[in-house]
Amino acid sequence: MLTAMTMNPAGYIQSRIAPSLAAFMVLAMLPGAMVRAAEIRVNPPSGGVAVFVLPSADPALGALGIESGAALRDAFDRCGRFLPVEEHQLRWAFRGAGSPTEDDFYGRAARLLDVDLYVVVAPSRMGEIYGAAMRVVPRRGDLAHLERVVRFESRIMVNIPLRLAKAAALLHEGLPVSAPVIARLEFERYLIGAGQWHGLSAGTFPTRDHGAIEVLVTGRYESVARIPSAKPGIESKIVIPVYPDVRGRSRRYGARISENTIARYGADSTLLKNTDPRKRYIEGACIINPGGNACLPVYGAFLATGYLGFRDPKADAPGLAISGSMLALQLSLPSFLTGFSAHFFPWERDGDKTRDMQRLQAVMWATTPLTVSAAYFDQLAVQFSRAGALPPFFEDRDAFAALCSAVVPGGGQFYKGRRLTGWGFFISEMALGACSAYYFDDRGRGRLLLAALGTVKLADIASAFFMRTGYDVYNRETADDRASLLPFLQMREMPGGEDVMMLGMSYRP
Amino acid sequence: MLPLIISKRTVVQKMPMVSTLVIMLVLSISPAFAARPIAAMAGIEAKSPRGAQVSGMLAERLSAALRLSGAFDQIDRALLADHLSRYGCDAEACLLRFARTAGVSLLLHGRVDDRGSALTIELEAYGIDAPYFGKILYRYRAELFQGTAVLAARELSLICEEHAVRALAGVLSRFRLPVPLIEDGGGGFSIQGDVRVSAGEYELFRPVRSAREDDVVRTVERAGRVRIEDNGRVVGIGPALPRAGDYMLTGFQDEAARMADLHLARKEEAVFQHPGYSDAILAVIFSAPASASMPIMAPLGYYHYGDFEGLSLWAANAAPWLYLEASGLLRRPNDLRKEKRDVSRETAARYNFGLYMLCAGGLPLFVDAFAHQYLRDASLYQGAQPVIGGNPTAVYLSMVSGGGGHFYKGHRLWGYFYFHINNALVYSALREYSSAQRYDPGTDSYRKSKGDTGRLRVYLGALGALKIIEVAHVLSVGHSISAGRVREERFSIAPDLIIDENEITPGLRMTYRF
Repeated sequence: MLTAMTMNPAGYIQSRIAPSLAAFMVLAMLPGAMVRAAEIRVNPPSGGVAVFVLPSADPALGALGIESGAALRDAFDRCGRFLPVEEHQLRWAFRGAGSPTEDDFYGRAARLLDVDLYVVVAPSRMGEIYGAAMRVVPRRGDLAHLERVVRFESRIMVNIPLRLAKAAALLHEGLPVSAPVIARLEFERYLIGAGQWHGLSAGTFPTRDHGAIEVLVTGRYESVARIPSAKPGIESKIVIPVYPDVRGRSRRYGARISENTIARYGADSTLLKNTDPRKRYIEGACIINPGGNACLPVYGAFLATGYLGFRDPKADAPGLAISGSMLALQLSLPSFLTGFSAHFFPWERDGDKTRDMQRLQAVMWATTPLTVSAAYFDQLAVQFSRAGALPPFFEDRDAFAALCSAVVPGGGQFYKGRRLTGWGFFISEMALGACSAYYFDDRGRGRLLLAALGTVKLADIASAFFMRTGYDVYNRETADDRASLLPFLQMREMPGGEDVMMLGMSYRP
Repeated sequence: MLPLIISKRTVVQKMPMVSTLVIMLVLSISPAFAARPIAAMAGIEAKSPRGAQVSGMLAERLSAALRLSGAFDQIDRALLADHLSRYGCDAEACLLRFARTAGVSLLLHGRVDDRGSALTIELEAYGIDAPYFGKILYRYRAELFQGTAVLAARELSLICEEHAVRALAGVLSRFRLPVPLIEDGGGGFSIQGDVRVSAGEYELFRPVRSAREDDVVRTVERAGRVRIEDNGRVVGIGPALPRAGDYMLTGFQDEAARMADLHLARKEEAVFQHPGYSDAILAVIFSAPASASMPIMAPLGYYHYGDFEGLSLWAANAAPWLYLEASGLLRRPNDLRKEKRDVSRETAARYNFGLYMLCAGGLPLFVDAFAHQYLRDASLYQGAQPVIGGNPTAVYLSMVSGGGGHFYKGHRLWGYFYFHINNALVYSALREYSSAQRYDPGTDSYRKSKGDTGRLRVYLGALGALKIIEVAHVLSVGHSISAGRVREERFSIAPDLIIDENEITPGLRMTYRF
């Protein structure tokens, strides 16, 4: 650098300082350019949305308001239909809208800005629960269907802006590009107010009112299009059937909400703060639980859950009863079937024990590790629900649940906290497995039973992958904002300690 | 006034001596003429303190990379950031207005999102002039999962440098600069003397005349092709008649490739300890013990490093081959012969396959269990890593085992692809090679029956071809030491299953990330 300057100081100054000087002069003109009313109005080709956040004296709510405003502007910006009004424009509008205590202050500010839509956000807090209400007010008749009020609550503050943003993204569902004609150019060409930002690219698009239009070249917010079959007037709107990727955007916000929820309620932040909970989980399943069950069958499954750091865990009696019954049945079924005349151990065969019966007994005994594993996963589901924590590997919960179901019948359902479904799959698969073993030599029946077992197993894995989790802390935070009708089957502990089984439909308007 | 200042500024350029030398070397193939468009960096947003630290480093590194590329002049970053924030000009529309007014050709803008265990870096590059008219021409997104690695200021700085260089290389590889033709005074045309364009043939573009000359977006039509002579003269090819105001597009692909290659080479030098033949010799010595101990050491390795994805993949992929190995070694032909029982070809083949897995077949999975973590540490600049980084070792591993070289270089999925094909071919070849032995009680001896030698040759040929392809492939790919997962703009077509809370929709997704 010194060499260059020494060789040609004038050239150096021009090459190094001139760009900065030029920029400085442009920047020095910015304030002047920004306060002129003509510049203040939202760029007409892009429509506009003003995001107003109600002020608050509480610093936490103030921060939440700022974050919510930023998240909403980002959501509108990324969806490409309503250009968020810039900060300095908002300040200008506030100055002209009168006192904030007067009625319709935000409506007046929106009128001054001439936006298509405005959003008012009111953050709130009650104890540890944060909330926000968002009112969406369209100012154009054709957008009247977007008017709504949505409310969210969450124990995780950072989830509120994301849920607002998700709701804002969902507003855009099915909104086509509505491009105003800005100018008429030569050769049936028009400058229209839509570009890359709106999702428009060069190509031919069918339109309802203006026939097929050909977009020749696009800019960020404007494009040149050839409209041969109609002569649209200036300011008229051309509706182009290009839609924003609302689902993709909504999924991305959902993923962030889920990430925050796992960070807050995950085992590493609630139960095991200085250890890797994933390693503990695997050690618990592969070493501690088998060891515990070897010492104290079935109850060992509950004791093994203590390895994951639950404070004051309580055994779930119905779960232990089911797993204990299953284990007892596995060990003694052949004896029952033979009237207690056959030898108790599967490796001993006597005259009362047919080959089929011995095979059944071998399978029943060999699958006892699956039963104690299911008992362990079942007890874990109870402990995680009670502790308000989420199990390890929850960020990959679908794949991990499928893996659990592949190894242990119903394992994925237990992992996701769906205990009744888990026991349903466990009993079905064990029963089919036992029958398959017994009728193995009977080719027709044996094959049929094996096929049924395979089908149920696949259903178990698929259901574990796709099923929503049963953990309330997670479901509450990540609940979808859209209306839904969902079936549910749950076993839940009531405040008095009573276990209640529930089957029904839930409707969220 | 302002455009005048800027255009005057671009006339005189003195590049630093090193840059001049490098560019002269690169351009020595074809004559060129120097000048640079203007780039401006409109800030990198961040919300958390660590995000702000990363954003500052990233902006600094981007600025340095831009300077090093020699492709652009820059507006002073600090001055620009100060004024843009002072006047609240942080929205995209405002930034584009500024860039157009200031005569900026390339505008960079980004954000750093700190999510505790992960950092996301997003950079967007806007082309202001034709052919972009303010569009985003390139988008770069990197996700950095910290895991157990310690990322202090030194590591963060190096990571920021890496992403700055890669992002800028991406921008330069896409960016096209319009170069207008001017009359040379002798009835012909030339390009401005201060514009650097290599001699050669170019497509010529002509802006369509419009009554609204101030429009941001202008239509353009193709006006044929022209050739730039060594002396800077422009000659029309065929029927094309160039006019003043026509322009052609030039780019910076060479600079982009040079920057990316240079940075990768520097990183490999810094993060690999001895990438040479000594590692390959070590690999040869320890091949058999490593392969034999794979069934125990590999899961322990994955578990030790907390690589549960690797552990799951290992369990799913190794299971069938481990079963074959175990059944072969537990049911040895010698034991059967002692009991005077027949030895089937299958039994003999399994035994031979078991020996292969003991000596070399398990090596790839052993390598994966450990190399993956070393490469991860290398990618995050956690010191110089031993054992990994050498091409001779990768070639050796690819030659003696299936996918070993790919695992060694961190390409796990390719590794499993070759691992399965290789094992299937080895087993098939061994099956044809192995002979069945039938016990003859009359003579108290065994009669051997050979396999099909024709099929054996086919399998061996296929195995040889696979090895050649695998070695060539492993030499053509680099080590997987990218700091974080990078997503650049590109087309992709993939089957998609859209899962919502309420429905599952199967479909085909064609994506153009921009």
